Amino acid sequence: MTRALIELERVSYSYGPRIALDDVSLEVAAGEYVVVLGRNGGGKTTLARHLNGLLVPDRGRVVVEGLDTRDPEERRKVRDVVGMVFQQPAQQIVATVVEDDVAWALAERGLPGPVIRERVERAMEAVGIADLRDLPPHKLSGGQQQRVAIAGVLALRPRAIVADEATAMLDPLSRLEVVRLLHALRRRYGLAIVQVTHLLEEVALADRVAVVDGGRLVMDGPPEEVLWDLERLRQLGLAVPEQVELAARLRSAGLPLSPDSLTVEALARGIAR
Amino acid sequence: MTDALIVTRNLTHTYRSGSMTVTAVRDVSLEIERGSTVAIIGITGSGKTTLVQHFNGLLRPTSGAVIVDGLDVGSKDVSLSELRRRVGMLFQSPERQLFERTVYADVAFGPRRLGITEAEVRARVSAALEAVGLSAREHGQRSPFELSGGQMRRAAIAGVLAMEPQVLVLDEPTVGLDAEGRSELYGYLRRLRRDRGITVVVVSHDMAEVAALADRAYVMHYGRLVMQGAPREVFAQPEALLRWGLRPPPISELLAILRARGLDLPHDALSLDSAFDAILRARGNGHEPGGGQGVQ
Repeated sequence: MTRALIELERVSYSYGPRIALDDVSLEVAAGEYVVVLGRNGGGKTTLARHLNGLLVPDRGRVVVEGLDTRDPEERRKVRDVVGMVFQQPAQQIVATVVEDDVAWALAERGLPGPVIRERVERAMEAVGIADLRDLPPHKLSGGQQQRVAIAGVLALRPRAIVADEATAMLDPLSRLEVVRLLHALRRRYGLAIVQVTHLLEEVALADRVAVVDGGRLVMDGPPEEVLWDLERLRQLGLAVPEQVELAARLRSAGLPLSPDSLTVEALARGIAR
Repeated sequence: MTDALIVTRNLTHTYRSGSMTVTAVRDVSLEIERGSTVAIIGITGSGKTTLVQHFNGLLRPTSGAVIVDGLDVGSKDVSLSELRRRVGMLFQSPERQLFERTVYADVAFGPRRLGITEAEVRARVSAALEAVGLSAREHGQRSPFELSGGQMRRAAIAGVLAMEPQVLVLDEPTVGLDAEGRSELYGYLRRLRRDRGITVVVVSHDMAEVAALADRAYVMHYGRLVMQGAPREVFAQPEALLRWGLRPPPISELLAILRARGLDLPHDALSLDSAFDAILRARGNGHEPGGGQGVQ
């Protein structure tokens, strides 16, 4: 692995008496797509909020491109390197039309007008919302609102985007579109993506899956390793996608399926071959 | 149909705002049987929420009729309070509507306005909490905001149950819940139906949820009712579902792709077990398929 873009070193964090993260170490490489999975209350959102300095470890440290989030000065810079998108689309909206919303963080940072316009234009084009620019964001669907939020982050020219349950409130097709968009942005800009979710169906295309439970990192590996461990996933309160369960049974019945038969399409190819 | 509790006939609903009109529900006729669990499915904007808001009189038909347990929702004389006592409705993310200091007070809020004695209120609150797996003793005196997401949602459902409705309408009840929260909620909904005979109407875009819960599914698309039937009948047509913007459950999608590739697979193999057997048979695999159904 090349030098990590984001490094968590033995991070612990508590809300009062409740331990939310307990000695977690994790590295995210530049351009890597990592899915952080886990049941609600397991610590995955707390983990996500450490990645761009929204939370600062009680013990251990988080280093992003050499910047330590414990230092307030460096923490400010980290927020330009790692952008966050959250669960509730509507709650991330700050402006009355889409274009201004995408421009918000840039304007806040005092960038010159022409630079802002150029970046906003490119970000809107990259996420496919250019034709929505004059609309009020609250009139958009949840999926479109998440695109606006992603464009706002993208306009900051980050190296990584953290999407914290960004698909949880969407319908299944919008969910899929947002996940595809994150993959496309990663390919196009070499962004690292950290996607936090409790939905296993979204993980098959990731490079890596990290499972957090009880504040600890309990599984970490490529999807074709982690996803086949059905027993363990169930113990961790995660719903195994039906096609994976079916694939596992077909494999143990002797059907020659490759370990990456994790999506419906891949499984169909494997069976029909 | 034997005993229809909710009937709509040519129901149409048009929203007006200034000179703009939007017809959100168009000519929908359906019957929901007493004691059944049904699912209304469709993409955002399909009209499913508008449809169910007629069931407790939040909306009145623009034309057509809605009859709920004999009450004509379109009539000017219908008692809305009576209608709402019979039809309990829970909107998306209902935990945001919890507002009292304790779980008990929150669930007791509705019953206390019914003019019944405090002892009766107490009995109703205990029963309602119990029905969703919370206990008045253990959770009653806590703040609703100390509960987990799944518990908060169930506390909100208890608030509706304490009104002892005959119909429970739930709009996207599991959005945002994790696998455990979901399966717990499903379990309690099944029990409500079994133990209390409550009719449950679930508005959902989650096909797995529908497959697991419902006796009957209604598919809405741009205001029209485009498909209805038992979930196994509806999900046996994945091509149609995709046309309505819905993603079929993974197993139906898989079987549809395999059929398109020429494998001989039945249309009604929706469960994991039956799909497993059918695929092994179609592949002529030498191993003994599970469930002892390996007849060639």
